[in-house]
Amino acid sequence: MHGYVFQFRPVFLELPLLLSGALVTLHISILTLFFSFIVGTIGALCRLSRFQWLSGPARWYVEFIRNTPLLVQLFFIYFGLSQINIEVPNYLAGLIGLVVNNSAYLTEIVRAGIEAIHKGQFEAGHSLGLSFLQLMRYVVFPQAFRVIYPPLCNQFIGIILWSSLVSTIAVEDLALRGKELVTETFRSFEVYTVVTLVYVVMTLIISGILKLVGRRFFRRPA
Amino acid sequence: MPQYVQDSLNLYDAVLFLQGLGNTVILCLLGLGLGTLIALFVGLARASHFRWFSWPAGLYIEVIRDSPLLMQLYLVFFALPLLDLQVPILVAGVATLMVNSSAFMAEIVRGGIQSVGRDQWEAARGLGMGYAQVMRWVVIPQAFRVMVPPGVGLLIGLIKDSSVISVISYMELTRVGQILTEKTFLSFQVFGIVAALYFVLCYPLSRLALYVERRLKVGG
Repeated sequence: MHGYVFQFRPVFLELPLLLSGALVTLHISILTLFFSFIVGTIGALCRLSRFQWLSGPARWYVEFIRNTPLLVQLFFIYFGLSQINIEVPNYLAGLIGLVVNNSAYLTEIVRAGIEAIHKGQFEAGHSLGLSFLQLMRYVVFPQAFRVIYPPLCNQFIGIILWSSLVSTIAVEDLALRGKELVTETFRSFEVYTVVTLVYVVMTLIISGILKLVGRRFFRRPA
Repeated sequence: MPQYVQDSLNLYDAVLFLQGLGNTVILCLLGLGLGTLIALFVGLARASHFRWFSWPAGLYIEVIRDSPLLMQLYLVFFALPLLDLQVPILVAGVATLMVNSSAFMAEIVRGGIQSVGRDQWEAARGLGMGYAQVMRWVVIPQAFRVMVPPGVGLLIGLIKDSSVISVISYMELTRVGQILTEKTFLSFQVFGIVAALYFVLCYPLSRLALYVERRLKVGG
């Protein structure tokens, strides 16, 4: 190390800029979780369906997405859509990519949650004359959610970390703000140290909050 | 009029795809191999009863698991010049994957070690074995079978995650896709092929992981 002097000051001066990027990261992560949960629930119901034409495509969707990289999926959507002349704003393309990716994982999580529910519950619901939707809404889902909650939290943390990849398609999230700051200050190592720490602190705080919420509301029945 | 834009994929591009695939495999095997070496030490430290060992190991694992791979890549990439190291990009890529996978592997190692019952320890100690001997002859052979299925899972994850190394323009599969997109503008086809190649690599491995898991469960 030939007398390299670490200078964190110019980085800390621009901390508000980084934090505004962190807000974008949070924003896109929460939206991703929300939409992925909806798509994932539909996917799980399809996968568990008796009908082959529902369960087959759902299964291959999950297998294909889970065995290809998120970055390639993002490029496929972002550059692919522009090839066929559909102009999608960067943020939307990033969001679609993240949702398409995470829905596959959530499909498996929700499916495991529904499968954890005892068969007798379905039979009891049916014999009470509940329709399929009522059965899902009032019997299955409230119980399944307790099983789903812990892996759902892990997935959310994963979404926050992996959402950094949308910076490669120019969504102005924390990672891209860091990159911009590097071109301004030329303090690449210091900038990325601080940005990494912001990610670590952010995920630690959020997983702490999620754990508290889980302990208070979604405790698994013994 | 001469054509400057190549409007279809040709045989040379196919070779380029295969080269990228090969580079991805090299990157992942080196990263996971070196990462596993580090993970053995970190995992042992994490499972240790001494706080001076287990806490730093825990911090190492936690920080790496709670930060994005992209940031780890940038940190390694920009830290190497600060250490006066002029290295090829491959080394930066391998180093990143090594550090990243070592944290996840360390947890797998710890889980494997802790899955071996206390009575095994006590019996081995009772036979007069030292710590290293117990590890080498009793714990690790039994821990190994527990570690294989999540280890294969980690390799699958690493193959997918290695696509991030394209950011520092190492010629792995995703980078090849980017270059060919710039050359031909056929992004749908190019990234479709890239995704298919990753799938060909990962899908058999994920079936293998399932198979191994079932096989080892039967053995008990």
